[in-house]
Amino acid sequence: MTFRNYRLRDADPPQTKIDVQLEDELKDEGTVIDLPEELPILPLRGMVVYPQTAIPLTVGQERSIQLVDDVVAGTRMVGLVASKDPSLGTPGPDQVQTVGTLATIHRLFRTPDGTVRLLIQGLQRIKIDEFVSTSPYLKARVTRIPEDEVVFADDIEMEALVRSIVDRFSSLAELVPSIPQELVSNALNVEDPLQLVYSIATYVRIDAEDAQLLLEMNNVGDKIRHLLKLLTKEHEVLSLGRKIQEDAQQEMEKSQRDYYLREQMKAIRRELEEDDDQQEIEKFRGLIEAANMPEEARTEAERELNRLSKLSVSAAEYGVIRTYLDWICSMPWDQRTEDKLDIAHARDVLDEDHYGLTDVKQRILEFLAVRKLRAERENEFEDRDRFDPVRRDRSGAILLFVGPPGVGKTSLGASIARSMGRKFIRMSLGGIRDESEIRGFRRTYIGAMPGRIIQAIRRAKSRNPLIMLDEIDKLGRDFRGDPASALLEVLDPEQNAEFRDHYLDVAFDLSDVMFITTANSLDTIPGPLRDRMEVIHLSGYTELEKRAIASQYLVPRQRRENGLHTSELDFTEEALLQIIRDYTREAGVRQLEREVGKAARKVVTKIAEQETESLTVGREALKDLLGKPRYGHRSEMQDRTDVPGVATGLAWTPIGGDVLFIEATKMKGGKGFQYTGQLGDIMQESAKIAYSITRSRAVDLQVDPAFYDEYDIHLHVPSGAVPKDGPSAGVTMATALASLLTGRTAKSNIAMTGELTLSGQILPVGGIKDKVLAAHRLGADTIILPSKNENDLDDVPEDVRGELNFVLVEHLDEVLPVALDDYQYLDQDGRMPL
Amino acid sequence: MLANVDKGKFRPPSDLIKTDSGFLVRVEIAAMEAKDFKVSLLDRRLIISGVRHLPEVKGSRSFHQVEIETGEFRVEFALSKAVDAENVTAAYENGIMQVELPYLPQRSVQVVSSDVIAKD
Repeated sequence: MTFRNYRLRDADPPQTKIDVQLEDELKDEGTVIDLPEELPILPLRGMVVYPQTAIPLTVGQERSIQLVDDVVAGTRMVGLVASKDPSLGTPGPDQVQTVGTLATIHRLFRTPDGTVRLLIQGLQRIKIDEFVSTSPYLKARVTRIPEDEVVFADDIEMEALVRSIVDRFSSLAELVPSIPQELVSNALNVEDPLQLVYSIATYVRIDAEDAQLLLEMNNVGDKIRHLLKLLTKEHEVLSLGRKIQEDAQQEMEKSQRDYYLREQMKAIRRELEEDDDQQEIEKFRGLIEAANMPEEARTEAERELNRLSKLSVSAAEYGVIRTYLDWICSMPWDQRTEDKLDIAHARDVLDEDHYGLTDVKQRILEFLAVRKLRAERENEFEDRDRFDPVRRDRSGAILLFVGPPGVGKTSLGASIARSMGRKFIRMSLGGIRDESEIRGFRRTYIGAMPGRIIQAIRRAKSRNPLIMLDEIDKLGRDFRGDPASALLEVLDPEQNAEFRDHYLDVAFDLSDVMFITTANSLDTIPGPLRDRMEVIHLSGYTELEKRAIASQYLVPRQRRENGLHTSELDFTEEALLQIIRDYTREAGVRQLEREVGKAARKVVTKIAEQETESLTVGREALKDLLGKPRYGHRSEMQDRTDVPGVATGLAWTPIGGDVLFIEATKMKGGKGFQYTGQLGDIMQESAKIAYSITRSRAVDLQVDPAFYDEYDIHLHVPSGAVPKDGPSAGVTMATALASLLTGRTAKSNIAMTGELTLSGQILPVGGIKDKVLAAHRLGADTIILPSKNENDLDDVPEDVRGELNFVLVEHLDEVLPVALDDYQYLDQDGRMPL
Repeated sequence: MLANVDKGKFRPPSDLIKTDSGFLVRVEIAAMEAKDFKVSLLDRRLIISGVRHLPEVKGSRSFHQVEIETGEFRVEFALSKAVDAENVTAAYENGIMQVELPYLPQRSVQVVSSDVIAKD
């Protein structure tokens, strides 16, 4: 494309000379502008154009564009008035203000979309007198409204007004980025207050109403005051707006900074190949999903996860919540082992693991049988038997094994778990004295964790394990709490379906857990706790049982532990029996196992030194292997009772039965009766009864009645350091005293037990089985028992019963003839020794 | 530019040049005749004003761009030296209005020293 060149037409040579006028005075002749007869009126939407200010304007309406075209073609003068209602599209004559501004169009530019941009300059205020046409656009006859004269220099108030509005505007301009700095300095240079007002008003946002008011005011001072008010308000709004913005920005910057740092940390973590927290949260989400929790736990877990996701990894809370989620997700909410309810199999397992204990095994098999039947008939009973709306069905059971140490309570528990195919968890409650150990610490504490029950369940990874609570009789209890009371909830099948650990704080169903507790003694177990459990007594073993246990379980085990082949070490039956009798004195078999182990180690040494290749231990080898017999079997009772005043009694202790040698002696004095040996209240009373009854029968016993005036009597029950109590030594005490008084020694092969009344009646006592076993162990062959205890003899194992004589008595009179030797023990002078 | 717009009168582009002999003022304004200018001088203020009329566009029309100003115009100069008012000349040729203002010849003033210190 090329431009076409035109040749310009020559014109007549113009006159070039101009006259220069020299004036005496210059008049401001520009103030008078010729007004056209009819002025086109352009209504403005929501804005006012002031005189002496230039402003860009955009017009788009058809009629306005036509108006602009006509104006530009002609005088370039236009009247600008604000329309009263900015929402009107094409306001008519009544809908525009009557006061407006005469303006001239300096520049025009039509944009490609058809709208027209103008640069307009306001010239003077005008008042519309009369509209002369409304089509195609508004035209009116107008008159100018002169502004009031301003005498600037003379008016201090005006000066003050001008200065303050300039100040106000400059500070406002700082808040409004759209006001360029040069505009501000221009405005400050304007000397005419009127022009100052108008130019400031042009650049500041002012409501159309206020702008119109500003235009219509005649006095410049009023205008400035009004504008000052508007500026002040605008300034306040803007500063507040800016403050809000700054705050928001600060907030944004902080969160952006956090975000940036967190991203960096993630990147670092990735480099270090650590899980990032998002992954962690996702991981927990997956775990919660997979754990199949009940509704309550799930809600809690999700709430905590939600909190976690909002925390930064470094927050102190983070670790706490994370640990909690770890716990709650790793609980076996829906994992359980299938019970093996095969009775024959269970019997095999129990027999394999334990010798004897027939009653206990029987009870366990009953329990399994019931479960089996219930499981089979579950559907049948669904409606018919669920008639109790309050109490739930008990599916768990809580057994309490009571017995001396070493009889196999704990291993029996493991054996039951094995026979049922359940997970086995054992925990010892001995010495626990804080309730929180059972039920957990509240999550608010630092380092809080769940209680032992929940820990055990998690360890088992199954919601129906067999939990063995050992030494429940040795629970402590102090100001920090009472763990036994916390156990009440755990061990109550009615309540433990909703066991609530303080840490987890959601219910966990323990009703499928099988609890077995063990204790040496029932006495220290709080009543309410004992009441919730089914008590099964395990007594001590008899010699024969011990021998069987030794040959079937202990010897093979010691062989294994010492690395010996079956052929290398064996014990003869007699040797085992001798170990049981002469080297141990216990209800269980721990000591026995230690002695067997000791022998085994000696044999190992011998084999290692190549003294021998194998050894079958017989009675004669024991002294070499185990040293001197520790307990002089049979001889002790003889040794102890070969002087008058000593009788053999039987006692029951938490670690099995035992024999007591009750001693009495007399001495000159006449102060009465005393007793020693840590006797409890009941036993002291027994002693007094025994004393009184022998004294009252002094004649029958052929004792001089004056004896008691001259002699003191002292009764002692060894061992002195062991506290003792109970009424069952009454008959023994009386026998000891009778022996002392008569000088007839008590028979060394007789042991006795029974409560003595003041009239000489003998009442039944407890612990017969343990006492009989102890007597047998120590070599007694005759046992004096209250006749009312006859039924208890059924508990005594057959083999022991066969070796013993039982003398059942109802009165002391029946005892003494049996228990005392016939001859009197006299010194060389034929007197009873003191 | 717009700040110069004064009371509806436009201001054509202009030069003020100082030469050895005097001021040279040029105003670029087309479509004028010499008789339509008014050149006024008062001491050191020079005002050039006038009215420009462009021929009217007849018939139906729409303006797409308007940059040529019409109507009254006014340019004012403040001269930094006194000029010889009697010898100012102005001429209009080829759209340039040119005014030449020769300096007033320098006058020397004799300063007489006087004793202004008061004696006690």
